[in-house]
This record gives sequence, structure tokens and C-alpha cells, in this order.
Amino acid sequence: MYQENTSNYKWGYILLFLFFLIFIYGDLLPSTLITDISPAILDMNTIFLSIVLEAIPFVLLGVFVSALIQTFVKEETLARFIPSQPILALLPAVTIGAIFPVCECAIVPIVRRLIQKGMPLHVGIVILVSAPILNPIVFLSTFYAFQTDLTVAWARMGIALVVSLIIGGIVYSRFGNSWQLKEEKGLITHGPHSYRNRLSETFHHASDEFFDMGKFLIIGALLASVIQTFMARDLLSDVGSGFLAGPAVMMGLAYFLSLCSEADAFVASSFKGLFSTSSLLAFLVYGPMTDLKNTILMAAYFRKRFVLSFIIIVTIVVYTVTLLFDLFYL
Amino acid sequence: MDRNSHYFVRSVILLGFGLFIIKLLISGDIYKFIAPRMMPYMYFALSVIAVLGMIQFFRSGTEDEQACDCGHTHDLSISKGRSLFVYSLFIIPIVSGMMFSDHVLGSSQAMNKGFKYELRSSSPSEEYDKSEASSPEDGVVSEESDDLLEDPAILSVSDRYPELQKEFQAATSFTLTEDNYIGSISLLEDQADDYVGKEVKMNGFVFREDGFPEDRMVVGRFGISCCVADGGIYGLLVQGDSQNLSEFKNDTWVEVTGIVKKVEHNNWELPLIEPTSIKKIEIPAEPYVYEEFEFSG
Repeated sequence: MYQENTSNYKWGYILLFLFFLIFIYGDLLPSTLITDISPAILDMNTIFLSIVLEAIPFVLLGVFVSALIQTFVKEETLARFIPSQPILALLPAVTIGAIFPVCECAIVPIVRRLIQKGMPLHVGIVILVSAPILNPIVFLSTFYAFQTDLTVAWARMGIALVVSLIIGGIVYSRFGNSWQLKEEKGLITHGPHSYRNRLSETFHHASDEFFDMGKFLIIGALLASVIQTFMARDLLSDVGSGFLAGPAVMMGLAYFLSLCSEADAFVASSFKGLFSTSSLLAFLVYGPMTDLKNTILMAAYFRKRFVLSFIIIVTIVVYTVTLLFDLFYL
Repeated sequence: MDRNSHYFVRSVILLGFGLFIIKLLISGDIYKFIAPRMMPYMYFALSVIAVLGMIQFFRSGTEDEQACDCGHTHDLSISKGRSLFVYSLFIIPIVSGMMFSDHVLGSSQAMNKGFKYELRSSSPSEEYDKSEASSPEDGVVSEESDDLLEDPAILSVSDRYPELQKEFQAATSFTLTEDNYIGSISLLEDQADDYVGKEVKMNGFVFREDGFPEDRMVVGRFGISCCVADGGIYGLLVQGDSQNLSEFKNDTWVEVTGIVKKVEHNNWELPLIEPTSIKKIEIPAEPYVYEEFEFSG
């Protein structure tokens, strides 16, 4: 037993040595080694790292809240706060979404945990799509990014609210309360733990989940950085900025850029003049609800079929609602 | 791999992330990835990573196979190949981050993202109508009152940077610094008329869009709101034959001094600098500029 352990530990020590080596001498390697092959690779690396660095604090936050829920929230407590009438249950869900100031990386593990604890599927999904948009931080950043046109910030919140409720309704009518997580239902049965055990358990859950989720985050960030580096924006305006094509193009962009919902308003504002307000709103509402990075995260926890239907539902609802908004209010 | 060595490798990876962040903090390269206002989150992440790393480390020595009795599945990958793949995903950003952290985005990304027109409140056609309809003297006043009547919710650029605007309108020459870069360029783009004839000094890297004439280029810097991925270009056109612009290749950092003029570019009226002097400079320690979130309404 002891022998076997040390042989496997070897790799850990080699890695440890490697990290220290690069920590001290990493800068000495000339970056021209890479630029000679392709200068774009360094751009890609920088964008990739910046997405990872920016997302890590929020993933950690999400993982911790999820671990706290896992350890401390009982199924019965949760059930008490959610009305049994399914449509009525959407209202507390939106409220929770609005209060939780978490962005889209953090919300996936939290919602998964809540559903695992017995929260109805459609209620969880409403939280998943509303929390990253309907929160004060996102409102403020949209407000600052679109200072010359404050209607954008308000319209973003309003559309997000309507869209999340509709999505919740559709998910309920299509999936009812069926089990859509990958894990089997009812696996989590906690024996009596002492308080101290619970605390260390929270940390254990959190770090396990950080590694479960981290790999998907890194894959997502990698894909997003490749697309950002090699896709010229002029291409988009060539593809289309009309009444129908504009929102579609911007939603596609939001999906592939996988920006944090706190920052996407600034990117959207740089498209002002190229695209209509409704296209920008489609970008701002769709991106936080689902994007490439999030799809990969969701696919880690939810069944593939469900993730696919979820994306289709969100796409159709956001597209339709922004077009209607454009027709009646802009 | 058994459970314990998984925990050990994980604690080493967490340590690696910690070292990466510490290295960025020491070298100051952290600002080449994220904006200063995100720093509290980075410190939060660093301390959480440190705690998690320590917990994983001590866990690796103590826990036997059945220690976790809460019955759920920890995804400790079974096959050696798969865990190698998963862990290398985490190792890649740590290694590439510690080796190439000082790279700064340049002209190729600037061309991808295009010029930033965001702070202009009206579409090009409207802008033209207005400037043609009103004489230069009263143009400013009537434009402002029009906007107020049209939509009370509209907040103009001058409302956003009231002090900067006062300062610039009073001065005959002004210098763009890290702190006023975004504000100044927004003001210049918003009401170029107010600043025509003034002398401007600014720095930035050189880039050109396709189809630029030989005596035209853009000098600008990336403006970041959260992380580099959301960066956009803030810059001004530089044009004039008094200097030999073609000797300044793309991605060269320069300091430009010149006179503000107005020009038509892709149907937009844009401010332009006619350079009186251009000189090459070293790339600044903080090559990006950051969005200001403070708002003095």
C-alpha cells in the first residue's frame, strides 16, 4: 500500500518542481519562440488566460455557495419556500434570481445543487436564466456602458424578466417535473454529522466541484478565445444587420464570445451604430442566459437532450421577444 | 491512481494557480489580463485557492478509500489517460500563463475588433443633418436642447465627464493620460467642433485599417472594463503629410503631438490629429486603459 502511494505521488512532486521552476525562470524563455510560428497564438493565449482569471473567483464563489447548500440546506426547508402550484412557483424563482448577485459561471453549480435538493426543474431553470441578468451589478454596468441611452439598461432588465418567466413556463409544460440531471435521484442522504465535520465537508465538496467544473470552464474559455482571436467583426455586419438578421447575428456572437454578464454591456456598446438597439438587447439578454462556456458547464450536470432543448427554447424565446419589443416599443 | 494521490496532484495544481496569481501580482502583469477594479476578486480567489490547496494536501495523507460516507459521486476519474487529460487542462493555463504573461494585444486584434464608435449618440445620417443645418456657433446649444426634448433619459458624454470637459474647453492644449484617455477620446468624438484647432498630445500603438491611405493611421490603446476579452479600441485618426507616417509600422508605440481637425471616415465625422511631431516610445508599463465606473452625475 505504502509502496504504491509513493509511486503515484511521484508525478505530483514532478509537477510541483515544474511549477516552481517556471515560477522563477518562466520569463526567461523568449516569447519570440511562439511569435515566429504565429503571433496570433500569443493573442489567443492572453485572451484565454484573461477569461480564466476573470471567471475563477466567480466559479469559486458558485462552488462554495453550492457546497454550503449541499451541506446545510435540507430538502424540507427548500420545499417550504416553493409554492406547490407550478406557475406560482415561478415568482419566488425570479425573486431569488434577482437577489443572488451571481454571474453565469457561478449559477450552474448552484442550480444543479438546488434541483438535486428537490427544487422543481422549471424553477431551477428560471433561476439559472434570470440570476445572471437580473442583478444590481449587471444593471449598473449596462447603465454605465450605455450612458447615452438609458432605455437599454431598463429594457434589458424588463426583457430578461419576461423571457425568464416564459422559459420557465415552457420548460414546465415540456418536461414537467422529470429528472434531468445526470446523477441518479436521491443519492444524497446525509447521515448525522457534527458541525466541525460539516465545515470540512463543505470545503471538500467545494474543491471537488472546483475540479469538476474547472475543466469545463477551461475548455469553454479556450474555444471562446480561439473564436475571438480569429473572427473579424466586420464579418458580422456583412452577414446582416437587418430587422430579422441583426438580432440573430448578435445572439450568435453572444453565444460564442461567452463573456461575463458584468462585462458584456461594454462589448455590446461597441457595436452601437453597426446594429439596431433590438439586436444589442438580444445580445445582452441571450449571452448571460446561455453561451458556449455555459453549455459545456451545463452538459456536465444535465442530460444532453435536456441541454439541447434548453438552448433551443432560450434561443426561440429571446429572439421572438426582442423582435416583439422592437415592433411595439422602439 | 488512487484517491490519495488524486488529492495530492490537485493540491499541487491549486498551488500552481496560487503561484501563477502571485507571480502576476508581483510583476504587475495582472493588469494585462483584468481591470484594476476586479482586484478584490483576485485576492478572494487567491485566498480561497490557498485554503483549498492546503485542505486537499492534508486530505491526501489521511483519507482512506471509504472515508466519504455521504454517498454521492466524486468524479475521480478512473482511467489514467483520462485523468492525465483532465489535469493537463489545468496545467496548460498555469504554465502558459507563467511563461507568456507579458504579451500585450496589438494591431491585429485592433483590426479584428474595429474602431470604437460607441459613445456617439446619433446615427451618422442624423449627425450630418444637424451639423449642416446649424451654424458652428449655436450648433452646440441647439443640439443639447434637442436631445433633452427628444428623450430626457439620454445622458450625453459631457454629462459623463463634466470636469474633464470644462478643463479641455478652457485649455488650448491638453495631454491624454492613462486616467483621462477614455474620457478625452469620448469627448473628442462626441463634439469634435469644440476642440478643433487645439493642440493634443497622446500616446498609443499604431494600427491601420484596410484601405487607409498612406498618410493615415490610428493611434490608440485598448480600453478594458473587466478583462482583456472585452477590450475595445480607443484611438484617434492621425493624418498629415508633414511627418513621414509610413515609417511608423503597425504596433509601434508612439507619442503624437498635433492639432485637432475634423474628417469624414466611413460616413462618420471623426476628430483627426494633424501631427506636428511623432516620436517612438517604449511600451508603457500599463499598456491598457480602463473604464471608469465612477459617475458624478
